[in-house]
Order: sequence, then structure tokens, then C-alpha cells
Amino acid sequence: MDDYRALRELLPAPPLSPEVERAGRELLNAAIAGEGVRRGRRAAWWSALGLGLAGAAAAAALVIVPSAVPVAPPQQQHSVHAAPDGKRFLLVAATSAASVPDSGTWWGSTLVDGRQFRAPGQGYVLRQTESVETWIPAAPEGRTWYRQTYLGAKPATPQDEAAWRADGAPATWTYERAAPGLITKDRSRGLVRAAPGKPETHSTEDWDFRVVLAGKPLTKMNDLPDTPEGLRTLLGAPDDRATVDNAARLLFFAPVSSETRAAAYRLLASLPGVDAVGPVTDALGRPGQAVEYRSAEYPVTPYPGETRTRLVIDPARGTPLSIETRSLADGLLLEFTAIQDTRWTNENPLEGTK
Amino acid sequence: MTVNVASAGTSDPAGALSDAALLELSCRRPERFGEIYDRYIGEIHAYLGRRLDRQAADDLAAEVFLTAFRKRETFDARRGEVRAWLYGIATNLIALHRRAETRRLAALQRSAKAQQGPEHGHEDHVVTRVDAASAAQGRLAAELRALPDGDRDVLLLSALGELSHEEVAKALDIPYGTVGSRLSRVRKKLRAALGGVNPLNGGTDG
Repeated sequence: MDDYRALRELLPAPPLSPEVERAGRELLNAAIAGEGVRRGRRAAWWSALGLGLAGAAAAAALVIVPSAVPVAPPQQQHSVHAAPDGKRFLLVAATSAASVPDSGTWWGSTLVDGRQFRAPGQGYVLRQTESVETWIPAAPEGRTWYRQTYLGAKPATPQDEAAWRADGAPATWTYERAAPGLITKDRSRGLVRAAPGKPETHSTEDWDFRVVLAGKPLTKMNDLPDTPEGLRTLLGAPDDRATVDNAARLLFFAPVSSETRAAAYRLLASLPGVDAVGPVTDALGRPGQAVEYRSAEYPVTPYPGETRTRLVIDPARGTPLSIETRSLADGLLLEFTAIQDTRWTNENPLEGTK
Repeated sequence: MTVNVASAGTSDPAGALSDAALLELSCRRPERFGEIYDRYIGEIHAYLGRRLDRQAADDLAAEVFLTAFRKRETFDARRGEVRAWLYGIATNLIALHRRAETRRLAALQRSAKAQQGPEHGHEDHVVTRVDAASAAQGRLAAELRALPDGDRDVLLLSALGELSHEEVAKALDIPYGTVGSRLSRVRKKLRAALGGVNPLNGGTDG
């Protein structure tokens, strides 16, 4: 083989610099992320904002709509006048979150997605909700399981309920075109039903959408940074507002380690444009502390005015409670995703049910 | 080539997937293709760098993987290894840069000649060896440069990529028999150019 050896000596291999290796990987990652979008998979939901995350079914559902009911204005004012240290609860939440157990073969979450919108031709506001239970396997090859249950629609407040009764207490509402609100089977027919539906379970072998963070696919969630600085590098967008959105999504939807979740709280506390609101009750009526910001994203349901996004947190347990989109003008709740439960476990109750 | 082994670490059992299994998986989970890159970027960059130059390798290495990523669904494990397939893609890419390759070989030829000049002769003892080596390298570079492109591809996939005859055949989509006949013809020429004695080795070429 001496001629081969001579060839190898004549043609030495140049060194591969880490920069070149990294730049190449990023090019490839962009192509990979781009393919996710092109295929129109659920990751596309997030990719537009550079963030692909868990709970896609949940994500798809997450919103709410204009309500005419003045629920929130007093709280709204807090966001302007909050004390400078009003965001300290995020650091408390970080400390609490860091000690939450995070080992297990499944990450389960139960979310309630809600939207609020007006009944057709009426002054009263409906609140429509569904429950989305998601089980994401720690092993990237496994299937992700979902159970979605339509929880129904009903008047949003006692005042709305009175108006609804005056209207004859209808059990369905018919719109001229597609109905507003959650994506349901009836929606395209312009129908909104008051009655809850049956749970529907499905599993999907989709690509691992927890990984497309800021266009940087990660093969393991352990690859995520566990410091605020590291997360900022990963999630950072040219626009601080988008960085806030990314951090919030990570916090609420991603099956990340407790350390990473803690880092996300700390990052949120440090980002500009995140204002303390103070104590609030979330969309499900649970007490918590909140921050608000102007999201770079648009609400799912078209809303003409500006909106603010509110994150409600339980600092003592370190758990996120809800993401709520409210109108800037009157603080009314438009859409929300409330987290009922998230945990790491070795049991997936849905596996094998279908 | 060490990269090849590194990704099969114990912390990630999935990392121990064979290349072919990983590639198949990547059809459903595109992000897993990144591991193919991690395994082979070192080798592929080296191969491109040996045949072209460092700048070209820096520019083209990622392109090999982008091409492979786009074509991954057409990869057929029955037709060979992922590694050989990547070398084939890299070789096709080099074919688009033939002029760069030729220039490089011409430069190597010249620099080998230049090294034989008297200005290098201040340490006779060492220089004799260097001269002999340079002379042989110059002849080798000239020989390589004179080879038909197809022959050079076969030779360098075998010599630099260490692909088997069968893998070379599949990578270049040519008959198996052609690989053997080209290689034996070309290697005869190289040995002649090296003078039967490999001065780099100081021994006879068996």
C-alpha cells in the first residue's frame, strides 16, 4: 500500500476548525427546520417565530377572544404602576421550580385552552374551552399521545349568563360563516355547541417537535442550557419581544429539566418589556402572580386592537398557571391556555388505549 | 475518523444506532440527520481538503450533508453503507470543481520541484532525503494530474476514503469490474512514478 501512503502524504488533510464545523451544522439545522415547515407539520406553528415546542395540539388550540365584559381593568393598571422589584416572584418561582422532580419516561401535561367571543348577533360573550392531555416520551423515537376533550361553550360571566337566558338559553349558536373559537368539527359549518364532547385519543409518530428551538434542533432536552445566559443565547431573537415569547413558550410547554425551567424564569425576570402585574387570579380562577408583555405574536383569533400577554405563575410551587391574551384597551380576556397539571412520570395512562 | 465512534457514547443509547438505521429514522425525524453530520463531517471535510484545498473543503463540506439530507429518502441500505454514499456525494461535488483540483495538483508539482533547488541544500544529510521525497512527490502529483477524472476518482476514493472496490463501484455508479481494472492500471503507473522505491518510506515497494 505504499503508493497509497505516498498519496496520503502528498495530499494532507487540512484541519477542520470548530467554527467551520459549527457553521456547517447550522446550515444543516436550518434545512432540517425548513423541512419541518415545508411538510406543514405541527412544528410549523412555532417555526415562524423560531421556536418549535411541545404541546402542539395544545398550542394549536391555545387561544381566546374578545369579551365585552369588563373583568380585568383594575389589574391592568397594575402593570403600569408595578414596583420595580415586582418581578422578584419570578426568582422565587425559579428556586421552587429547580427542586421539582424531573425524572421519568413520560412528560404528561393537561392544559385547558379557551377562547372568548361574542354570541352571533348578541351582546353577550361565550367562553369555549377544551382540555388537551399530552404525553410526550423521553425517548425521541416514541409516539406522543393526546387526549382532547371538548369542554363546551357557555356564557363567560354572570352578566353574560343573564343575557343568554334572556335570549332563550340556546344550546347551540350558528354563525353565518365559520364560527369563531376553537377548531372543532362544527366550526366550518358555523356552529358552536354548548354541550361537551367525548374524549378523543390519538397518538402520533411525528418528528420530535420539542427540539426545534430557535432553529436549533436538539436531540435531547438535556442539551438545553440551564442558565439564563445560555437560554438567552439559544432563544434570543433580534427582537426582545420574540425572545420573551420564546422563553414563555419554553416555560409553559416544553418538557425540559427543572433546572432549565428555573433558568427560563430567571431569563424572563431579566428581559426588558416584561412588566410586573402583581397578584391576580388566572383564567381558571386560581391565585398567582403575573407579568405582562407585548407579544410579537398575533392572537389566534383576529382581534383588531393591540393585545398584552399575561403569564400567571404560582411562585411557591414554581409552576406556570396560564398564558392569557388580553386586549390592551380594556384588559379583557381574549384567549388563554391554562396548565392544570404537568409532571414527569413512568406511566402514560393513554398508552395502549388505542 | 474518531468522530465516527464518539457519537456512540454510552449516555445516549440512540447514538448507537447504525448509520443506516439512523438515516432511515431521519426520514421520519429529520433532526436525527444531524447525527450523520456529527459522525462524518470530520472525514468528509478531510477528503475534500485532501483533494481540493482547505478553503474549498470549508466551503463544500456542509454542501455534501445538505445534499445527502435532501436525498436521504432515496438512500438504499441494500446498496451499501452510508459512509460510502457520503463519499460518493462528495466525489460528485468535487467533479464540479475539477479545475480547482487540477490547479492544486499543478501547484503541488511545482512546489515539489522548487524544493529540489540548491537553496535548500545547506544540510546535505537531511536534504538528500527531502530531495528524493520531493522528487517523488512531484512525479506523483504530475501522474495524478494526468489521470483521467474517472480514474482519479476511483483511486482517491480507495486511497483516501478507504472504500472497498464494491463501495467505490456503488459510490460512482460504475461496474464492479471497472473499479478493479482501473485501480490496477493506475496503481502500476503510480508505482512507476515513485520509482519502485518509496523514498518516503525508505524501503522497497512490495
